[in-house]
Amino acid sequence: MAECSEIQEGFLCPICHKDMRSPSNLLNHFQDQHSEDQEFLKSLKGIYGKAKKKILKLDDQELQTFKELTQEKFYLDSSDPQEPGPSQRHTNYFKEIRRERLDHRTTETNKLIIRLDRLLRTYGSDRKQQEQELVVWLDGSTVTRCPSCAASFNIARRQHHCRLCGTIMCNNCSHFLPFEAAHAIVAPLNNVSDREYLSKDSDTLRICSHCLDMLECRRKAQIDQMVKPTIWQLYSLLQGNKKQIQSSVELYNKMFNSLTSGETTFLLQDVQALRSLIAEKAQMIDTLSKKIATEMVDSNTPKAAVVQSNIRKSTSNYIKDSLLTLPAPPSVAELEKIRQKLSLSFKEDSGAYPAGAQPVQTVTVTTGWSPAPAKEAEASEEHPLIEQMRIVKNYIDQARKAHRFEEVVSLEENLRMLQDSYRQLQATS
Amino acid sequence: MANRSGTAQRPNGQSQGKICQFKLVLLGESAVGKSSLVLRFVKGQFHEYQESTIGAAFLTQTICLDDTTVKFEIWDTAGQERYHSLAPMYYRGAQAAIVVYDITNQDTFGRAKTWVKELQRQASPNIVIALAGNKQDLANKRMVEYEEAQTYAEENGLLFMETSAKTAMNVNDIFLAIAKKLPKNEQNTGQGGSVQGRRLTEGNTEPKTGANCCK
Repeated sequence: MAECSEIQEGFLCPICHKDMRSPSNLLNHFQDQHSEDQEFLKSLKGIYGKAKKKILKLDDQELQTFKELTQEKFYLDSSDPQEPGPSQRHTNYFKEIRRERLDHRTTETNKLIIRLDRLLRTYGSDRKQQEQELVVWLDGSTVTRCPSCAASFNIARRQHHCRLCGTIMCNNCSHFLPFEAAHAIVAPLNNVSDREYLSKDSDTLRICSHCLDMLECRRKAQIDQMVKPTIWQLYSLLQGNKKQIQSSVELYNKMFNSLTSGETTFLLQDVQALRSLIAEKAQMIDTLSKKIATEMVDSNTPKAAVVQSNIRKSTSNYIKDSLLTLPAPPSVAELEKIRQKLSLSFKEDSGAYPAGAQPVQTVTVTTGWSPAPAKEAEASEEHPLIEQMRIVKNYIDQARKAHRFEEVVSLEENLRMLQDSYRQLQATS
Repeated sequence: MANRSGTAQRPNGQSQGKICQFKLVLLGESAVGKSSLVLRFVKGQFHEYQESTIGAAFLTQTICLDDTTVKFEIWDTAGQERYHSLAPMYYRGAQAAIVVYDITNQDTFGRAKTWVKELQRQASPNIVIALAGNKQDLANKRMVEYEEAQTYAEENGLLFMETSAKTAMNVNDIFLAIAKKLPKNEQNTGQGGSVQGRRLTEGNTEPKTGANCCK
């Protein structure tokens, strides 16, 4: 064996480190002395290979059996529904990401709009220079090809700059925004100077497709905000009618109770009129909800059909539960009976209270009401009392038309007072 | 709802959510802003060129005080002299009155004082009277000092506020102040012409009603 301190040189056997003096010797020596080792190595390799193959095979088999097993299991499970695991909402995560993007997009768009607004204010011979002051134009010296269509620039195909973001493009890739359209886009920002530039209607702004896309998106979003789907319109109409019905029903119950307890505050014909109004309105919301239910469903929003049918259901339930249960106004004969009985006692007429109207506990604030003012300039010859009587009669008509029956009561009382004092006046004169 | 009408019918059956109905009358010289004041209160509107009222106009407005709903039936009388004869009819049954004057016109303040005197003499004894110095937005042309009106109001036990129908200043406040001062128990509200007072068992107007029903 060689010593480690010396550096050995020559035709050394790589295994036993003997110097063989010549390459042929070394080769022979290696074949003679170490062929066994080589075989061992080879066999060793073979074993490994076999093992490897075996393992792989096993893996394959196992995979196969595993697959079969799981499939079997799956089939088994399908007959017996599995409990749903814990679920997690990703809406907030989604919203967060969406918000970030939207914010970015909005600021970018707004930047464009502000730039556009400033650009529209430029005029005169040095417009190009002014434009470059507002928006920094990209240095074109190193740009040899159009970034959007990859055509190389030369004398025939010149570089152009987007006036809004300053990027470079060729003539084919540029879009032209007419000044008129640009003014329409910035109109809310720039109302005052609208008229000043009408003379340059034919002018256009060269912009890139990206900026055009942003402006288009904004325009579309604005239109979307303005345009309400028909179903929305129908539904808001429905809700408005429902609200009116609600207050009418409250008033009706009040009038009905007053009437059945023998009071003469309200007239029977008014109660009947209100009832027929409620019926009319009920019919209206019924047809409205039918219309909503049969409205065409956009295939992109399959849930809309569910909403529509639910609106229909809830409306018909509402009509059934709260409107059809309204007690019918008493007939004239019944009313007479009630009033005769009343002179002794008033008992148990509260049994006629409608059960359906109970849940309304909140006090609604009715908004102020006033009839249209009397407009009679030439009336000054008449006696003020007669004039006022006519005015009040007109008010009563208006109040009755508006189904303001409490107001009718007060006005009628006033009319009686007016008539009384007019009679007195005539008696004395 | 049934509760509410219950309170209206039976004084012993009252619960929370009381409804009180009050008759309120506006008085004052013509063109001091009575109609503007009411229009601001009832509809929240203001017309620079409000036409002068003929006879008396009628408006209603409801305000909520805690659990009490106060409904005002407002009679806005004409300020012109020729309609003066109508005024007693409107303040007679009223539980509240607002006497309006124009702070830029000393004469209207004098007229307001006569209205107050008339009310004190002829209207119901516990009527709530409020004095409103309107057109406060024209304070730079002021002819009636705030202190002067204030002392007068104190001496006569009136509510007092300077208002502006144009800027809506103190408009709702003066109506609210009146609503707070009005008695809320039902016996008191019955005296004039509110719902509670109209239970009829004898038949002086009954036949008329019956005739209407048979139509």
